[in-house]
Amino acid sequence: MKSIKYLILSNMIFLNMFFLTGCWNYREVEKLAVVAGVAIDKGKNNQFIVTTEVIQISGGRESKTTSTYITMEGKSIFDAVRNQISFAGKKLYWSHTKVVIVSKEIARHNMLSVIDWYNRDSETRSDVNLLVSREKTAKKVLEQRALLEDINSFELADTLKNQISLSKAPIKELWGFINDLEAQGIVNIVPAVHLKKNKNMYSPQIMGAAVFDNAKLIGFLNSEETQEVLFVKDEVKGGLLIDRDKTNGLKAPISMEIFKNKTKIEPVVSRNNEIKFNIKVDTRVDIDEIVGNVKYANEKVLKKLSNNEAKNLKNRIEHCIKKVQSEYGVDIFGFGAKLREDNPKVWKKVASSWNDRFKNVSVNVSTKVNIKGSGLFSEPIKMGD
Amino acid sequence: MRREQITDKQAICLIIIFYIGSSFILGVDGESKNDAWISGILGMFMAAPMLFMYARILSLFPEKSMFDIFELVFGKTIGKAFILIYIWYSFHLGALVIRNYGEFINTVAMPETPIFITMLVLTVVCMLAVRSGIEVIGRISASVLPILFFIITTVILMSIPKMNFHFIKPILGDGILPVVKGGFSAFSFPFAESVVLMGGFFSLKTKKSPYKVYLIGTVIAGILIIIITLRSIVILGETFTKFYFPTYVAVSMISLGDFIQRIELTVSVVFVFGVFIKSSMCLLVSSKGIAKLFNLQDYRSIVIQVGILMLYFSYTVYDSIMEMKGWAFIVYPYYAFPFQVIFPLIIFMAAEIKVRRNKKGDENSI
Repeated sequence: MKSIKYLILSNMIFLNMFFLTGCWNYREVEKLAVVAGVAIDKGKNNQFIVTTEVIQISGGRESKTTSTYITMEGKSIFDAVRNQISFAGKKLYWSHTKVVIVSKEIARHNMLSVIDWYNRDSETRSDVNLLVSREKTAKKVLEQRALLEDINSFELADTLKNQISLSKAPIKELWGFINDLEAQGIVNIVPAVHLKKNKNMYSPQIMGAAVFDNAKLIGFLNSEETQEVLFVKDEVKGGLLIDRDKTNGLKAPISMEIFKNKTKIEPVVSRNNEIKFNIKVDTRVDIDEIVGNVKYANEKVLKKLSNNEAKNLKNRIEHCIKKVQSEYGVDIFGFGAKLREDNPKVWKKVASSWNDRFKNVSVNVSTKVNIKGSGLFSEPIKMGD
Repeated sequence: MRREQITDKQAICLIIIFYIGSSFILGVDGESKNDAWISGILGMFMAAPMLFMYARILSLFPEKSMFDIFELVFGKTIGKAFILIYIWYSFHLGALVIRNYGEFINTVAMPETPIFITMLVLTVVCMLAVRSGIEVIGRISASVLPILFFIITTVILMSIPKMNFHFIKPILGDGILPVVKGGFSAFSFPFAESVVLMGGFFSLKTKKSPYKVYLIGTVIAGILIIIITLRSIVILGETFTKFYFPTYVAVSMISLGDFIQRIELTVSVVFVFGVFIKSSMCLLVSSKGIAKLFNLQDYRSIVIQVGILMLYFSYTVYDSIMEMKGWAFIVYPYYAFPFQVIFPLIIFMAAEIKVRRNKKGDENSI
């Protein structure tokens, strides 16, 4: 009797192996079409053109990853994405997508029509990098061969990741874009990408930023302006400061590498409701390139150098803020958001007219550059006769 | 029959997991945006007097469950009406929790699997647990809680690089009113839901146990929920209220050094255990209530039937996930208010009077 019981029990457990094996629909790894990057363009008749870079893994002894491109049109983004099944036969797998490149045209029109599906759908992940193409189409940027990697999208993602030691383009993930879009008193800047000729072929280069007014692209910043904006936004983690001033006994531009930066924005509201912003930039740098007869072991000279650089930086930042105020008139620095954080009562009064106020808001920039080292060499190279 | 008994420690673990069950999935509330953590604290404090009341009722009648107390206090007819009310509440709550779980799995992990299957799997496990009795559920909680703690703390530590603390500001930017509203929502979901546990805590050891269990359990679970809410806020900013499952999305942002990423499924483990304990307790309580209503010897004979009914009810209770979110945050606080506040208040007063009178009676007879 007991043995029968055990027999039945073990049979039941054995049968369960077939019933409880996991998901309803399982998908094998080699049957997946893994998407590495997407480019979104505008087609004719209000259609969207979606180009995906799909990873191909060829097995065998020397497994190699290459990629291919699938382009499809549709009435909406999702329609185009699903239409790709009619083309490639496989359902695309979105979890490993690194970049979304949006064309200028679409960004000018309305970003929301693009990003909503990507953020909403559960197959996609919203921590994907967003890029705006400066070229005619985004497809063109995506379809270039990468320089060092096998897959172009992964190289673009690496480029963005290593911006921490360049600081010439912002990093914007899709969810961050939406966050800033919904937030009050701040608008988005998104890294811009264009093609650059290298060894008789074109490769994508990420430089500068696209400026948005809510969900619409209104212009581009060049790489230097982007760095200045990043200084104000406290997003500089590395990069270089170049001093072109040749007075201090310098014979060539001097470059300093940024190691640490801290920027503080303080909104000041005076009694007659005049709003001012104090921006304090505190940067730690190393001298990494210097030519001339500067004896920077001397404290006085060092101070002069750092003061000079601080002044330089201050001028740049002030100029940049002026330019943004007059040319774009949108708060890409997040002054309004800062005011809202620190002083919600005042913000409530000015919120509706913030865009106009921002154009004339006065800003007080103070910069501080601390030189902490000079690489491995303690003096400039001297030329003997 | 041997009396079932759980230790205080097990009961505390049980109540903690009960609290974090579905509130981990849905987040605390949507009203107060980045002040939701303040709402959490507020909700906890609002719930404190209620919890003392529940504990007091339980300790007035040691070794009795909520349903026994109804009959003792109100007599047969009114007592039965109260029993019916609380059977409905725990049955409904259990169905909602099962549905939360089903929607969660259906939305984030397996969109093509029928929601019924995912809910069925959970309900079967719940039925097994409830048939084994409160002792087993208590022991499961006690052994699972350390794992959950471990997961929660490691995930919080790993999410530190993604945190932007300026998202917390402005504190009380929209004034106090939304926060109070949110506090009320947090009060009814999850804190005051522990009224259901009055039907399960018939098996505590001493007279003082209910106080201890309710107090320590609520404080620990409350702190956990507040920390988790804060984490969602500092990772996602104000948009976190727009997600159905903010915790899950917040954790999906974690990426440490390119190889620790996509760890959101570890959080699902917490969800699954929480939901399992919560719906098991609801199933247990409603089965017990039905057994009491019809004077059954043992509730175990009807667990499977009630479980299947609960499953079907949860399958039909909402049409969509939008309805679920709307219900959970807008309607539910008002719907649950009588069950959580008004009826317990009546019972509490009646019980106090009854006990005092009995005491007097005892003294007189001596």
